[in-house]
Amino acid sequence: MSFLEIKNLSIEFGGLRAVDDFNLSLKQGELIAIIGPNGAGKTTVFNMLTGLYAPTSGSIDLNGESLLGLKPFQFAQKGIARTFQNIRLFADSTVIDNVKMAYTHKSRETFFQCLFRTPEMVRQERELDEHALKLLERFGLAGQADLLAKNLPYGAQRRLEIVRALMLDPKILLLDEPVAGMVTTELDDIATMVKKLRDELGLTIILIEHHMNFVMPIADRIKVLNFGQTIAEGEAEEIQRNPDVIAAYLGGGYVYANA
Amino acid sequence: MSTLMQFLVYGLQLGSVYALLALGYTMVYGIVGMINFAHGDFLMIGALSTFFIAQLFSQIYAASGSYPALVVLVIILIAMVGTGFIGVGVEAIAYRPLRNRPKMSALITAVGVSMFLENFPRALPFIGPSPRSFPALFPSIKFNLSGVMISTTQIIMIALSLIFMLILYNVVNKTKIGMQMRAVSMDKNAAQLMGINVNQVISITFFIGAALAASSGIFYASIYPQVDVYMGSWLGTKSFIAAVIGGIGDIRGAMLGGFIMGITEILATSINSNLGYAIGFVILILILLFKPAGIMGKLTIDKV
Repeated sequence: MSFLEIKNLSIEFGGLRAVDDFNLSLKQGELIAIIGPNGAGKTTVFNMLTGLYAPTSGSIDLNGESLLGLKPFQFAQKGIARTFQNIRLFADSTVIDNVKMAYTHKSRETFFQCLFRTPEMVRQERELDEHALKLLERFGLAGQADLLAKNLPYGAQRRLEIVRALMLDPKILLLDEPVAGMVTTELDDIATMVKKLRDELGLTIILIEHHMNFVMPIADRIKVLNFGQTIAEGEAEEIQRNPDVIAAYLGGGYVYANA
Repeated sequence: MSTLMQFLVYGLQLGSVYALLALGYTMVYGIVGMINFAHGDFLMIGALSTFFIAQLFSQIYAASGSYPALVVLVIILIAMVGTGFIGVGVEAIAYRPLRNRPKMSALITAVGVSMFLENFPRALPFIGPSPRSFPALFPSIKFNLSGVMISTTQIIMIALSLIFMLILYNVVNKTKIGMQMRAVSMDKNAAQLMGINVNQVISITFFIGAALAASSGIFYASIYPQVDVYMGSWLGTKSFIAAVIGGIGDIRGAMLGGFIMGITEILATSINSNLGYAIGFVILILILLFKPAGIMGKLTIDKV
């Protein structure tokens, strides 16, 4: 029995079949990457996995429990956390508040405790602060905890998004182009970080990325999408040699010219 | 000097009505991003329902003509909670289906909701269009503080509205639901993916806004003891101006704007009664000219 089981997932927008028959079965602690050219349907898959889009057909099961029909916030509460392709932080809040905002549904503070600031509530609040700070420290953001999120440099904002997602205490982490817009030296940092998340926290990770050389060394498996369809699946080396993949990335003519 | 102080007392009293109502405008705008033009009508619903609840209670408790303090508190609470739920209902029925549509749709719908809320009770046989005189809920003992007359009604009103505002400010800034509200106000989509139930947060926002509007309706009717189905519309307009003056979306701004509106209106009326109506608009124009985002508001510049 696999941890996350996605079967025959399809979605149509009007006449357009944006994702067609997507299958994925994940074991706990696996790190898989979804790659593909722009418009291949990668982010659409993520949107279905977080409840933002309702699939036209297919099923999503987490630990044997179907997630279909749930609201996005319930997906998050079940343990699927994500980051965004274009950063979606709570820009006008401080860094630490951004992280704490991902914990509100778990906090057991009651309304009146907060209003009267009872010792119990103060203690819980302090624990929450410590928990958030510890996570921030792990990603080198503890020093900026009181800055507004919008004033962080770009790379730090990307890391903060990951910290915020981790605060949900997720079972599965979806990373949507975590290195978009970063320079090559930063790629290695993020790659190490993602690997550490998997190795140290035992997280199951699905990663969307364009950069082949970012994905290749860290992913256990790679799935390639093009025009909503899965055109290849396997380990990094198989994928690199797969003619369909090369065609999708470099245009069909390239393959035929070399054939 | 004592005349000026006297006007200040009246101004604070009227200002607390505007401020409580402006809070609803500003919260809904801040969190949902729409202007709820029907908000003034929640004030009317609060005042009218208080009238009817008080009438029910009067047979049992107010045989002597005045209500015991505890009964008054219960009446106010019932009216506030009831109006709060009407606010939640209005949001769920009229605004929620339009949330992801262009802002203009929600705006026009709000105007429609406002018309409905005014004219539906008007058509009901037991409410109707005629004004009614509001019962005296609060005791009215007058004190003379070196030439300034102040009544217990005024003290209770101003104190209660300050307490409500203090609670609200702490709710938004210190509690879990406040944190969720801030998250929703910044990015609804990201908020729901962080496990926040956006619909619930918005319902609570409308509940609080409508309940505060009800309290301001009760206070207003206690100063000018006449209630009818249209009372909410122009009070709503003035409070909306108050919210804009203070900087719409900012809670402290709404309170400040409300008191500025109340005090200047009373001062202007003392000079000429026609000026009282105009002064709010004069201030609005001046603010929009010189500080378009309002006193507390921050001007957001869209990056290109």
